[in-house]
Amino acid sequence: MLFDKEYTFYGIHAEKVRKLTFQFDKKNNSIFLSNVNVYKTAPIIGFLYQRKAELDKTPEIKPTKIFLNEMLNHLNDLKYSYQLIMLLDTKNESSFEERVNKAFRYYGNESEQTLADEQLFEQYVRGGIDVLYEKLIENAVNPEDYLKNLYDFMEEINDRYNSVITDDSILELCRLEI
Amino acid sequence: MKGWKLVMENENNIQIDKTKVKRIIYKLILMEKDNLKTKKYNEAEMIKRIKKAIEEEIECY
Amino acid sequence: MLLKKMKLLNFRQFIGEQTVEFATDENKNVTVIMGENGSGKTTLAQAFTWCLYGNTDFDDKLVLNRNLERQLLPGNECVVKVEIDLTHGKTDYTIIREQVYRRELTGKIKVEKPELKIKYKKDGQQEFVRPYEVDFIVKQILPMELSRYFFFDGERIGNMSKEINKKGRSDEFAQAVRGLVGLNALIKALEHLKPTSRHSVIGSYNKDYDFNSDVRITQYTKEIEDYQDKLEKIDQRLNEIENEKQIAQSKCDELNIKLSQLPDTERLQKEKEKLQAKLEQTQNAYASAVSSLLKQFNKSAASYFSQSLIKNALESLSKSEKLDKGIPDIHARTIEFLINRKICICGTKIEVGNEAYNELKKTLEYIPPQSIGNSIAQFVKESESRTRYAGDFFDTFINQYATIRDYENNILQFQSDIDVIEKQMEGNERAAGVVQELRRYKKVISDRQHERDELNQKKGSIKTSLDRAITERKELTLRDERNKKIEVYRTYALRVFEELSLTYKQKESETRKNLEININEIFKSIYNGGMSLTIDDRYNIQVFVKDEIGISNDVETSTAQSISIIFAFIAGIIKMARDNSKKTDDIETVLDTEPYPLVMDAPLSAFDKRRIKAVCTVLPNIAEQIIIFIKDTDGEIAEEHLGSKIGKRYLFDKKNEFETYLMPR
Repeated sequence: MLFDKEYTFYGIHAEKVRKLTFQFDKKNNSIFLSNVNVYKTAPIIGFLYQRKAELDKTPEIKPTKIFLNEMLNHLNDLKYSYQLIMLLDTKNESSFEERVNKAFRYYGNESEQTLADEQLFEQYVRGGIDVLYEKLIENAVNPEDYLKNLYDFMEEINDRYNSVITDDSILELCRLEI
Repeated sequence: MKGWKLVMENENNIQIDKTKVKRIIYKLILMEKDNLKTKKYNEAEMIKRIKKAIEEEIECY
Repeated sequence: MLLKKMKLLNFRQFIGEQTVEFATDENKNVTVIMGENGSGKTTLAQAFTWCLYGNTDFDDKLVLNRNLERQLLPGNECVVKVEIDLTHGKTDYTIIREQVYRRELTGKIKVEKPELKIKYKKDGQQEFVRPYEVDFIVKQILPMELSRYFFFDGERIGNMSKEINKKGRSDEFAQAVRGLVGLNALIKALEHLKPTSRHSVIGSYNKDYDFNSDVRITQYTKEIEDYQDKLEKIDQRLNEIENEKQIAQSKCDELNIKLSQLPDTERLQKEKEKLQAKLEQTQNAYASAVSSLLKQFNKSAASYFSQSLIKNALESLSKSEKLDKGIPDIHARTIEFLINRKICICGTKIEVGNEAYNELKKTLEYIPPQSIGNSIAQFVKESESRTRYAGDFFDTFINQYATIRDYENNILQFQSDIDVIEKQMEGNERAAGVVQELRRYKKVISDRQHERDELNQKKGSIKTSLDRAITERKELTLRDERNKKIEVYRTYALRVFEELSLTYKQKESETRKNLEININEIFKSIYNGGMSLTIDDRYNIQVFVKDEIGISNDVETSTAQSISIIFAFIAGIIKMARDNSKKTDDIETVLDTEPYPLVMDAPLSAFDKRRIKAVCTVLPNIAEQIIIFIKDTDGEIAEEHLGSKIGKRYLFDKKNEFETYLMPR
């Protein structure tokens, strides 16, 4: 994987990505500015909501891509998402030590195991796309709807995940003894 | 890199040669400019000519 | 193109042979032709047109001088001729249009077809252009469609001025921009390629697929054509909607003006206008706020969403002892080296199995290339920065959203306040009718907007279905070799279309902006910043006139204002055409145009005295050559301000209704 090549969305997920980057008002605003923004966010959402999805092979739907230079521009973010998920997915691997290895030692090593992990990541990506689509796009008609959906979604995430954590607690944790 | 074709992308598994695309564009604009001045060809004829220009450019080495 | 000389023979009131030589010198490039209205200015301009294109705008198509016509005896004939010497490209041309009038023995006048001959001089040799090529050459020199921008007579200026005043828009602008700067070729190319049309190049390739056997392919083709037709209809309707909206909008503007003129409603109307300004301001602020919110969202979303995950990950990492503690800049090679030389950096002896040796060997686990300590450290650093980055994001987002909702509410409030005022105005009898009509048009606008939103939705889903159908059909047809070729052609054609679309969009926007800039610069030199305009992408013109407090009571009439616009527009176009001809980029030269002279009926009297000087200074610097017709009364003014640039002067000497002579001064 290594996020160093052109990336393609297929089937129903390609369609959803198009809708997520659709320009819904006169000023050409869209929820996600481009495909790579979706790719950055989707795995996190997929993991948060514990949603995975299989590759949809519907041939009639036109795929949509992220070009190489965009992938390279966001390489760090993508790698980070992958490492984060590897570290935390206990259902995938119960041993913490092994999860650390998956995130750091085995990253990009092309072994069978790693390729399987990468497939898992992709499933979260697709699951995340499903969630984003359901929450933000599915029932939106007017420009105002898109914004309201986004607002509701942000509130939902905040209430469920972020409201207890303060920045300080995280920053504190960061100051680990290394 | 003289002589190298710049193959840039796969469109549905079809390799597109960027140099050819540029040549087609150039030819096309010239044809349109010319026809605007002379009004020699009607719409159907222009379309035929354009198709021919495209095909020739593609088939050439 | 440079005009050198024009020779008239018996052309309308110009009896006999009369010649006008045009000023061509670089510094003295202005030719002034003076005469009262009706003395022959229009005729002279028409002489150009007749010579080049064989027709005039006159109702009476007879161009033979009336006196000569009356005096023509049976059996005799008379020739009318206009001859123009000009330079185009690097060639000198003489364009000769000749028409023979014969008095038959029956007494009737027989008019032969006017004949066009062109002489050209290249490398000293003078030759005639072949008869079947003359029209082509004229088209190359100055196609009729473009001639209107360089031969500007008073009536056309008047018409264009009405257009600008009434509609706030001029199609002339749009057409001129596209034509002169060569965008028409691009537009035509795009039209011819258009993937959504059945009759384009790409549409034609779609049809060329060999559908000999498979019935399903034919079905898909029908589906595809249906979708394409639907898309075209929707696009047409969207265009119509845009126009209907604009018409409704300009009606609204008209009605608002009416309202402001009714004495009783003047106050209310003023209030309403204030509100409308606030409304617009708020709508703009709303749009910016939305864009900025979304931009911020795209930047920070991923980091923000990861917050809780990051916390968990860091917790786990800190709890476990497995955190590698790497030593900076030490590599396994270093350890191997130390072990091999048997002495540590601190001097301790290293022997296989001793404490030093065991410690060193353990270190190997934690340093590159084995270690992941550095990677983990990197990860933690990233986590820290993401957290800091996403820190206020949620609060900022909520605030921004609240602001947006406020704007939304304010917009609704303003709209309802405006409604209230209109209702009040309705109470007033005279205003009632106007207000009702105003409401009607407002409703039209909002209905159209709804329609447009719905259509766009529909368009999206039809496009999806269309793509699907095309892909499905392609699957079926690609099995055929020949179809594979067509697929290649089609793919290239599509790519060409995409690149051209991009180029066109860029060029048009660039060109329109340049025109705007050029026009405003010209305004600056005439109005010292007191007047400026903007042109939007639909070529709607908005004029901004700064209030001049107590400087003079010469306020421009709105006619003068629109004439200023037209004048600046012509000057702007000419300047752009000249600038363009200097470009060297390859696609630019394909689109380039040649500089042209400016022939105009100068409505100097429409300008006030302050402006005339500025106008006269600006003009000769912009066009290669200026030929200007003026009235007697403006003569002094022109001399005063154009004096040093005038190369040639002529005067229309009107002897009587049917005889005018062009006299050099």
